Amino acid sequence: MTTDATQIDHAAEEAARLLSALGAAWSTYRLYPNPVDQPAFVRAVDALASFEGSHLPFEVGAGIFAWNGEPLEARRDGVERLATQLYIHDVATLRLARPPSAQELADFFGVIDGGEAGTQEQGGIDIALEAAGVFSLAVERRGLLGRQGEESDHDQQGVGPGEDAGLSAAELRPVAELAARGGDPAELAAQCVADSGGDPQAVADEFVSAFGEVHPPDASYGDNRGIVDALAPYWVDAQTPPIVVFAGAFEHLAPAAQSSILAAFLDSSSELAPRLFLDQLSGAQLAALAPHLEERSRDQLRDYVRGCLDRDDGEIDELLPLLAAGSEIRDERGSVAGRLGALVNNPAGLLAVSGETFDMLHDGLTPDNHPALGVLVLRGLFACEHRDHRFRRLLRIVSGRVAAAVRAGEFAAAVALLAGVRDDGAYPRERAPEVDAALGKLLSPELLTDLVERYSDEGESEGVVQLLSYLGPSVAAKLVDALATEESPALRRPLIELVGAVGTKHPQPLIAGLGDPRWFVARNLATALGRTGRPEAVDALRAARDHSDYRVRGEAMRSLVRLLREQGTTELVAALRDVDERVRDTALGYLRTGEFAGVDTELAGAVGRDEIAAEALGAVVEILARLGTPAAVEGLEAIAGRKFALRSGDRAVRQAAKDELKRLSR
Amino acid sequence: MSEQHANSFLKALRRVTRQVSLYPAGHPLTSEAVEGAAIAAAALTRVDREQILNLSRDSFYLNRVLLPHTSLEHNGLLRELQERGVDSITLLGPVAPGDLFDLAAFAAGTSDDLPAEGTVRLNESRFDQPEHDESPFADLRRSYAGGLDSLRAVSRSMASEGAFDLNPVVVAVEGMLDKTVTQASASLLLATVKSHDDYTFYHSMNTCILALAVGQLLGLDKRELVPIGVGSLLHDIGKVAVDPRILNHPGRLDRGMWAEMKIHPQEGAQAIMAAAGPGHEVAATIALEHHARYDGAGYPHIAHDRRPHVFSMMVTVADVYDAVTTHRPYRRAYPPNRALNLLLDQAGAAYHPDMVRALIRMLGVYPPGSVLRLADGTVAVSTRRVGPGSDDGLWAVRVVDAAGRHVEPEELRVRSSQVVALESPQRVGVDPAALLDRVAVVGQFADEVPDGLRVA
Repeated sequence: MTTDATQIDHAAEEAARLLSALGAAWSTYRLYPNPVDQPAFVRAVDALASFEGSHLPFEVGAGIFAWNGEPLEARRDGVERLATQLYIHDVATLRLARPPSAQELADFFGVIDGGEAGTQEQGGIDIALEAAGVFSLAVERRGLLGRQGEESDHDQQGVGPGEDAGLSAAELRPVAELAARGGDPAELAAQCVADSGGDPQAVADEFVSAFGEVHPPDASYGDNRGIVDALAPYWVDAQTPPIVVFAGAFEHLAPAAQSSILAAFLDSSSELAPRLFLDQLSGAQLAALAPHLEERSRDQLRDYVRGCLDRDDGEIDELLPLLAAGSEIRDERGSVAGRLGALVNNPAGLLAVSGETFDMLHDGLTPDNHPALGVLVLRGLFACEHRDHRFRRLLRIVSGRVAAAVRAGEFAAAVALLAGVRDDGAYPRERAPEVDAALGKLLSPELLTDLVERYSDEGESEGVVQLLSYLGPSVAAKLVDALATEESPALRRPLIELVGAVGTKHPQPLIAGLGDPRWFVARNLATALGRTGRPEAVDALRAARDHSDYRVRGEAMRSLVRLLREQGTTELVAALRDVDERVRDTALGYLRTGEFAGVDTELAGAVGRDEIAAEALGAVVEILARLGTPAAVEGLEAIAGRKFALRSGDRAVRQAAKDELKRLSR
Repeated sequence: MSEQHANSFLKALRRVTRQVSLYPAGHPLTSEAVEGAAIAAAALTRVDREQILNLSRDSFYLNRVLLPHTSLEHNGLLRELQERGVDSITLLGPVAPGDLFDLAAFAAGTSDDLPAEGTVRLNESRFDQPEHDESPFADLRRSYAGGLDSLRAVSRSMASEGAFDLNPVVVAVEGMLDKTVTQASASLLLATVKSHDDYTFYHSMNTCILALAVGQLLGLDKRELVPIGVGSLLHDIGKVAVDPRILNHPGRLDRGMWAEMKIHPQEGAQAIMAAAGPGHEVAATIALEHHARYDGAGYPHIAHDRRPHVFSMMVTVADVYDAVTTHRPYRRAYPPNRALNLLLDQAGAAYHPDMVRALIRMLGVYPPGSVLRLADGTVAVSTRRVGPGSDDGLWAVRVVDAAGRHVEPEELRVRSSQVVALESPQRVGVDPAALLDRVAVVGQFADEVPDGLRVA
């Protein structure tokens, strides 16, 4: 027994050496254009020469040889490739009839290196070898139905992708095994038809079952492990991934079988592998099959295509042409080359680039235009950014850029940036408070001091105001606070102006501050409000006329006049009843200018209603007398006919009114 | 052929380092990757049992011979290994899978055990790089690699800190710009580098090269081109914020994936605006608008009343051209001229018509890197146009003879009428950019080869 076993081991070792020589020769043949001159090829031929005598035939499987019923370990990868190549040509057994010459061996490889279609045309691989004059290496073809019987020969075969699925290669059905070995798609299709008997539905069932053996459904679509596994075959190009083999084989099947297969894969397209299979098919392929699908499958196909194209609507007829896949890339060389050639050879005409484009290019790349581009980018980002954390990041970007521009004294750039973000609704309205708060933080006390100083510089005042205005209402509030605490008269004046200028865009903080009990705060804000030109300031200033401090009341009146201009008569006349002479005198001063409308009527009315302080009546008489209009006369008559208290001044006023009436009547 | 074997080995090694980072030893995927690396190592050591890969500055050397294209394609792995202090890798065939696993674990940083015995040995071979790098396009490659490095640094920084320094990117673009001026055709051929591993980085570099070339065609000067170059290099930087599972998804995106993918333009623009001061608004504009269509569709939806900026549209055509000519797991690469045709079909709708015209004018009917099957059965790679606006054909190099055998590159002039088909580089087994240093091709670019490196 021991001797027999030793002999068998020795024979197996010999067989393995023979295969190793064949594998080395095959690799050399594939690598070099002139293999017979290569030392490695010569060594292999020499090695084969030592195998004189009869040898049992080697059985050929996909990627493996067996000898005496036992698989042989492949010591070179060329052996596996040689087995695969022979398998493709339907070689069931290979036998060394006699040692080949180098040229004969090269001729043998030349035949099997060709496509199987060519050898089939000649009547099969054995006939093709005969035709090539190769007799030292004999082959026997296998019939398609003979494959079942071979399975047991491959029980111990090596690892293939099928094993990742939990099956050994030997446990796979022939179609699956072929795919797992990265075999020829046409071969797989033929195997599928042969194994199923040819009925389209049976072919489809065989195809789908074999696919399932190689690609188990346990990896759900989107699952990390599943993706990694699915990707793995693509990382090394040595072997065609099974999924690509299946996709290639699909093209060789009859349309009826294709439709059934497509329906099955659509049905399970939530799983990773079936989905990836669908992804291999082109829009054109799917479009050709779509009419043959049942309604449910068509709906599934439509949903699949919409998902791929990220579309919410559209029907498959219009969407499918948009799906590109490898198989769509057909040989369009002639028409494409002709079309492009026509363009290339007429550069003066069809390939001319317009002057407008040139201008846009050069203008856009001029450094002066970079800030404008930055604004466009930020507007674009604000428009499309819906994620809160990223929106906040955007605000930080804007703040940073504005701060940098301000530090560099580039107010125009800062303002352009802010205007671009603020104007015309670059961001949704509901984001406004967030934007205000973020930008408002930019105005530090140091920056404010700097800006107030710069404001005094004539060349920069407008830029400072625009900058502060675009920073938002919170900045106006900060300015109001600063105004309240600023002790330097030199800074206070420009600060007041600045508050007023900023208040033109954001008056509310100023209006709110007008009620401040500190007279100087209220007064300064009244001044500033007068500079805003905003109508909503009027009511607030009117209310300020009741302030306890005359300075506030007087300033409110002046600001009202500034806001209302010639229409400010009512406000001036109303000030004539103020308890403080300085307020009244100020009002009278305005009234005496003659620049206000309806002074006569307003004064006459106020006199009639007794709404003018007695101390101001003398001046009122003067004004009315100078106006001399009927309304003025009416006012004078009211004063002249008035019964005053027994004060000498009052009597003098009455008399003055009478005198003026007499003068006017002359 | 040696470079091809070394390339395959490094590709397989890279896969193992990734798997080692993700999975423990013994995981089926790790085992499969190690097995793949062992096969690649076996191929490399088949003829000579001892093979030494040296890492010096920015290049791999195999047995002291520079591997120019491999160095570029595996620039990321090169950096990772150098950061781990690896100067050389000695492979003693047959290489044991366990030793390869140890090497990968060391490279990935999951192990600090420096393999010193066994069939894989580190730092056993000292190699002093010659002062004079014999590769005539070394500077060009160095600039390309510099761009990749800057992108990696920016991505790392953005992913970890949410911010980045833009200066290295500007320096990289300025370097690349100089090369695209002095080595215009060679740099276009270099833009055919397609790496699956670092798709985004290589794609960004290629987009940058193409955009710079279009800009030069349109007469922009260096001052104007730098911001466009920075923008094109960083146009996809927002993808750092997108789940890698979505970026690497091997199929079409579904609705949920699309929603996440669509944030990358605004993420990129925000990052640039946050990172950079005034002067980089162009780059931010490009990042924001590179998926916006000329007709107002696309994403993100920004404004109803304006089109994307014209230089965003310039980068968009370069972006699309490179993207569709790159093989993706679920989609074969378009042949170059079909990609141009696609752009032409959508000119005036998705793409700015002038920019499409400019790209076509620059690249011609068969852009550099096109793999052409000629009427006599040979296969050639186009390298440059003969002249603008002429139908005199193009310069190419024959790489496969009529019998289907790979041959030493041989210069030839091809007329359009000789071309019968466009082939896939993968199918033919040709890497167009790898041809750059082959003698015949160098001869074609003689006017672009720096003084002192000219081939006789």
